[in-house]
Amino acid sequence: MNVRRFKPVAAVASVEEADKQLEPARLTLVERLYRDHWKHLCTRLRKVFGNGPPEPEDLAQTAFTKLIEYADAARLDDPASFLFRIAINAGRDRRRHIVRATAIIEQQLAPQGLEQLDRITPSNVYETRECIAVTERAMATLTPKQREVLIRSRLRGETFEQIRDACGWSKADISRTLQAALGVLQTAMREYLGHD
Amino acid sequence: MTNVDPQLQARRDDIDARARQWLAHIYSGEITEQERAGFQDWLAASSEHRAAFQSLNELWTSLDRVPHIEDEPADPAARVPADAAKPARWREVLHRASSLRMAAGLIVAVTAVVALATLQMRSRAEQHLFTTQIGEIRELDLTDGSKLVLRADSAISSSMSSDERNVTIERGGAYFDVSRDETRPFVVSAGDIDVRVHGTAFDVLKGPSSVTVSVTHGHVTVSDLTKPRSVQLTGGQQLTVLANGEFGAVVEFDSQRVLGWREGRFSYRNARLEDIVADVNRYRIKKIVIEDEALADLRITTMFRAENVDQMLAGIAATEPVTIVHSAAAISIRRREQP
Repeated sequence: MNVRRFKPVAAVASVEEADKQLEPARLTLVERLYRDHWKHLCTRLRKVFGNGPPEPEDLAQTAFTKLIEYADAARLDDPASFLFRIAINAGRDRRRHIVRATAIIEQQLAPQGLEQLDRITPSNVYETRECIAVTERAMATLTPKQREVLIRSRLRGETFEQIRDACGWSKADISRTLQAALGVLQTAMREYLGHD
Repeated sequence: MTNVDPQLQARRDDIDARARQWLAHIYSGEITEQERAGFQDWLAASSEHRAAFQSLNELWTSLDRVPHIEDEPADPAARVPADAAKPARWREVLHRASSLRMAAGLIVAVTAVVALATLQMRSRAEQHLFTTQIGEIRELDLTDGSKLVLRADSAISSSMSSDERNVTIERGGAYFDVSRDETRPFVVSAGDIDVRVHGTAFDVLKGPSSVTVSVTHGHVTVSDLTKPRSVQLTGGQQLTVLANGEFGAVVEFDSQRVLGWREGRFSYRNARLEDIVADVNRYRIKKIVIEDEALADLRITTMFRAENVDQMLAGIAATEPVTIVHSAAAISIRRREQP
């Protein structure tokens, strides 16, 4: 397996100039984050995308590049989660239908022109630790099929056609299963938040 | 948890279900510009719609923060089998039952009821499979108190959990009298179509080229899972959805006529010959076969009892450009040669 080693400063030409200006403390932080999270991040991404495409190392590199650009990197309370989210979104954003779907939703719900980092800044109620724990428990109650469809759609960004080709289920069945999985998560969250 | 007016709860559930339908379709990779406009209209129609979708979208967005979401569940029984593309085990059971039936030439046999609770699904939902043989009509009581009458040569699976009651029509159709439960919607799935209710009575027939829903009382929501499209039906209304997803017009129907199959009476008005033949064949070992595809679309209005199929065929031959040919294996409907 050809694993490219990530060099936190010099690996990406587009930020080389900026890297030169990184103060030592910040450079140390990035190096520490790299040392602590690179391997684990690649392992997680490989579980989602396999050997690719997209290649896990490519996505991890993109995530670290974004992390370097992120002004508040030092204040991240969960850098591992942050890196995983950036990488997952980077992988999904390589799929045209995901870009289109995101645009459709953001056009209706959010201000225009959000950068990727803005999109994942914790701002919604479901992203508190408590709610994430509720979702994690609810995920454990999904049927294997519901989980498979949810992971393929949400994390891998696969179309229903791609899921059908991989799993053999009809598109209607996939839609039904995805909706049912979301229903399970919604119900769990509604019960936790106390409004039914 | 606070007590909420059941009707208000049902309305919220319907809106949430619609939001899930929209989100799934938007990420399916198949949304069209027209549907995109439909999504915009739906959001704009009510602040409740917008709030429901926003909430769902935030939940969707938050999923990549769930720790270990990429990991297989610890419970080995919960893992997706590597051969996920293969038919589910109960489908194999169905297939075997069908083969045995044909081999034995049984007209009416004992209905197979297969408990699925121990199959691969980890869900705590209680699952059952019900089938009827050729010529058999069967009344069933579901565990939630709902009653259904299963058409001949039909197969359905049911799944009852604390959140939802699901019935999937694999073959044929059934009449449902659903016990009211505002907290657990009752969803009947037939191909790409879902029929969602809380408590009502209705008939669903999955034919070769369409799904027909006829509501006797209460109201139901009929949804196409491949498109973000739903239609509400109330008592006395009927809707046919074609295999290509096209929704027909909502029409009034005569329940005595449409539901007469429960007493062995069949009545069709302007129905496709293919659909009539598929229905009638549920009651016959010796099948009726349409030999010319162009004849499948013939529109027929007829009424007959199950034991008088030959008379019905003779009537069709007298009024349509077809001839009926009997052989040892089947009864064939052929285009009549011009003299």
